[in-house]
Amino acid sequence: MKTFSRLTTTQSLIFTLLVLVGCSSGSRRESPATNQAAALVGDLLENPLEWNAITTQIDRHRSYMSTLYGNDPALEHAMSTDDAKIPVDAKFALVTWRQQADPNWFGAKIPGKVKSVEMVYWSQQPGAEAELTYLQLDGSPLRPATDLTPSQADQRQRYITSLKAAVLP
Amino acid sequence: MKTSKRRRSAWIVGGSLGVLFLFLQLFRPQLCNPPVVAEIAVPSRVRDILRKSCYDCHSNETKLAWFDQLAPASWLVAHDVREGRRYLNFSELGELPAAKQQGILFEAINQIELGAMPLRAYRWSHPDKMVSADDLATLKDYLISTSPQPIAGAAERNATLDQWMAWSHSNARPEVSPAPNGIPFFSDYKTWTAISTTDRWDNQTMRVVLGNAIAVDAIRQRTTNPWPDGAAFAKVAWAQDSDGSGNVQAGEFKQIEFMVKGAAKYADTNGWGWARWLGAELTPYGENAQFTGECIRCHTPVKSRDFVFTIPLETSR
Ligand code: HEC
Ligand code: HEC
Repeated sequence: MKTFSRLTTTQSLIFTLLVLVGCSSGSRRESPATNQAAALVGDLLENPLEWNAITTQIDRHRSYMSTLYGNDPALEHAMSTDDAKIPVDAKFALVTWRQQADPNWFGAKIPGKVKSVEMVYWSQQPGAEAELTYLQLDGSPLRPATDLTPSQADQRQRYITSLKAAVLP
Repeated sequence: MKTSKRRRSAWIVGGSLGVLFLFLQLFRPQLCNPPVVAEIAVPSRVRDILRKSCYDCHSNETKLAWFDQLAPASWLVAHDVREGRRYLNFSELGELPAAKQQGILFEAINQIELGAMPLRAYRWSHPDKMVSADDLATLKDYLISTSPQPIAGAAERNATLDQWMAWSHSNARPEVSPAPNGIPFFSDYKTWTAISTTDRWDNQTMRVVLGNAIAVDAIRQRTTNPWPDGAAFAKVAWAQDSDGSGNVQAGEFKQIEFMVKGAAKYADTNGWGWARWLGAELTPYGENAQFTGECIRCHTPVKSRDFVFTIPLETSR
């Protein structure tokens, strides 16, 4: 009798072990709930991630991905033809991330660390006319870029405001 | 005295179980190997891995172990083989366009990597047929080396421009029919918040995933597993227009897909309502309500994330 009950205990132990091993082999490393690596932190006065996503692009050589965000007037501008004037209250932000492999899908890349945020908006000095302004913030945490020539700034501003909205029916 | 009585009843129980077991063997499930029509077109180093780990259920070359052929296990095995072949049969894929075969392989590798395939019970009972880390690396290297980075030619660029002109000139949306499972188009999705972008280099598209206010609020409060009822996502896919020097822009709009959470309402489809519309005309996808099976099977590996792949950005600060 004694041997019998010992046997069943050992057997059930082995069985439980096997079941546990069988179950745990299916589990895997958990991917994070939110993408904290890609969060925008630093000297930002506004949060462009709450604006409309206007279009998106990839720089394959440097493994960057960017999304152009903008408020409603900016979106309207990105849906108009090349010669359209930029509405006075438009705000644009081109957010560029370094890419990271998507832990949930082999075959995709998603935003990793922030590389830069480029803002284009109207600013006005007292007594002067409103002026389209370009501001570049780099790194994580984001800090205003210091080594930017006026012609580079002008070129980026033109580029960002020339981007066309991706079709969203 | 007592022991011998017990011993006798043990014999009776054991004996009847034995007879029952033998009797069950009379009911052998019908499982035959139909001819191989067109095997998937891949190099042998890739095919060997699929043969070893997947062909028992996903081909017309099923080779069962002796213990797979004993009832009642054999009934479960036969069911798995029938279901497995129905959704993915490597013996019949060879005639599909190369891009389609490639897409199926990407799905297959993701099912392996996320621990969903081969089925857990099978891995457990056939440890020799596991996909090893080396095997997985071989499969991935193959897919990386064969994924093209096409350059958008004049035809693609014109298609993008034509679509953009038509859309930007008249932003009025056409009348959109509901999906075959009755889910109506989400006409306010453009007011939702973008929670991530993906570069899908496996099929040369780029996507933006949007979340409605309930979803964005859940992200802020970290109540995303499970997602609250009413949370909804839209995923928009565009072609990748590449200029040949590494710069890629969102090109032609391809499709928009939705998931809306309703734990009770959509209990039959894993707690989510699924829907997809194709092209700028927003044509409902799927011949009948069964199309959701396709969505669910591919999203099952992220079941532990309440079936949601996207790792959302923290959009509110
Ligand atoms: C023991 C049988 C079995 C084995 C072995 C097996 N599968 Fe499966 N597979 C199934 C069944 C059954 C389904 C149907 C859906 C489900 O139950 O998840 C399925 C579904 C799939 C799907 C989803 C198809 C669709 O329509 O979306 C993929 C992809 C897949 N399997 C890949 C693999 C790969 C790759 C391997 C080998 C590494 C493999 N399977 C091994 C039984 C099996
Ligand atoms: C071949 C696999 C596959 C199939 C089939 C599939 N999906 Fe997905 N789905 C994905 C992946 C991967 C993502 C993550 C975003 C990305 O990389 O594109 C995703 C993301 C989504 C999202 C955004 C929320 C999330 O889970 O991240 C929605 C909405 C969605 N899919 C809807 C659908 C619907 C509706 C169907 C069926 C008509 C479907 N999917 C079929 C792979 C699939």
